[in-house]
Amino acid sequence: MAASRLYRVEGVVLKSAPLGEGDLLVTLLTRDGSKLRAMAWGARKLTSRKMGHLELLTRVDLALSKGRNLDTITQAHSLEAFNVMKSGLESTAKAFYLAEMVDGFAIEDGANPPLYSLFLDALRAVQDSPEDNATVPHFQLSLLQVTGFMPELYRCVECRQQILPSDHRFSIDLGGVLCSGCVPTGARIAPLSLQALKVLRHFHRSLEPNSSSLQVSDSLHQELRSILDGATRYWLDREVRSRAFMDQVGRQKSESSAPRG
Amino acid sequence: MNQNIPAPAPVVRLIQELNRLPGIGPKSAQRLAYYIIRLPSEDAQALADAVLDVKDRIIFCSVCQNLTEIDPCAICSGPRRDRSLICVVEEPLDVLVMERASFYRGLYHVLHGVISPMNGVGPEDLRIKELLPRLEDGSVKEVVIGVNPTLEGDATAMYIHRLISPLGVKVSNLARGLPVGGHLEYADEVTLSQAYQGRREL
Repeated sequence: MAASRLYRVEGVVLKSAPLGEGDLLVTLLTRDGSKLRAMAWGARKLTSRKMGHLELLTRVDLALSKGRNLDTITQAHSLEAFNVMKSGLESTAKAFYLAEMVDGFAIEDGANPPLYSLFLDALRAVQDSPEDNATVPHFQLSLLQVTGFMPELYRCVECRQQILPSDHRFSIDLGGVLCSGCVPTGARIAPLSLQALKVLRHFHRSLEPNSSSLQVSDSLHQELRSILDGATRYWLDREVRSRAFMDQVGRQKSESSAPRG
Repeated sequence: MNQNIPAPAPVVRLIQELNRLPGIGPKSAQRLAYYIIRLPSEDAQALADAVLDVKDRIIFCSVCQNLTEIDPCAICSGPRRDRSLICVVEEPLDVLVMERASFYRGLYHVLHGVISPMNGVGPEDLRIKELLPRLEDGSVKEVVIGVNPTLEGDATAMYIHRLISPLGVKVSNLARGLPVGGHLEYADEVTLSQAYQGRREL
């Protein structure tokens, strides 16, 4: 008997692109942590039964039919709508940023279940605690960890000696911390404060970007950002485009809340 | 011996150019190219003229940013339009849709897209900043955001709202909810909750 062409899958909509008259090409992160691209014919039409269920950042239960190139979404039913817009423009910008990074690191036919639960936890944290400034850096480190690009945080990447407090720097090229004795040629090396190292190790020990776990100062946030954005850019080999919008929205908010003189 | 015979250079060039159009893949480009080859010369000339004509004569309206042949466009210079209302839409096609429905008598502002950070489209890539000077003289009382009800559309609406709310202009959004001819059974939870919130007394 021939195998059924129909199957079901749960996933979160990462992005969608309009195609043809009223169709959508949808990219999802599925429950097994792999990326799936599928066609939703007619999904942009106002009376489509799939419309709304395939909105960005919706956790959705799909019925699909196998196709020659792309599979076709035959039914869609939303399970959880991450209403990040309700939490404000900052949360929405953060959610775009998380989704773009997941889209960059996830691979088609490459199962990675922890990636799915990490992404859901991060979206819930962004939705429920929009003011928490540790969610994004925590997610970035956890993402590097579950996708196999975790930077070394405990031993020098050159001499493999245990890193001692106040004796550390960071190299994105070499993939982790460096002791003060090692001077590798040609590698970009940045200073790494003890506080930043402690926070990174804390993130490493607790995989979920728990919303209420930590609030970091602005300067520490900048330092973590420089390290983690650098590592993300290094492994993706491109800029994460949503970062610019996230920064812009943050600036707009701080300008509007600043006292007018 | 299997030797591929290449298509003549002008045909290859036409296929390549058609292939650059949105939604046209290599096979569609080939089909269109061979259709054009079979067209009578005058029809092919008319197509080429239409393409060049649209490039030569169509400009952006300096007021609403819609596509037009004259500047300002017929809507912006129309004497019967309500100048206290501006509807902000994504694309020039949305203006046509609104005009076809013929219930709206205000002005428009065309953004030419929505904020789509994942595709590298930020506010500076849209015609948002051109909206601000239109609100400065105080004649506009309300800005109606008429972008598509997607997450990207909502982000754009929220961004514009933040930008223009200090000017004291009322900002509203088109209502969200169930489409005419739709089925409650297939509505998603967000649409349903928005439809419920926007319910009206009969």
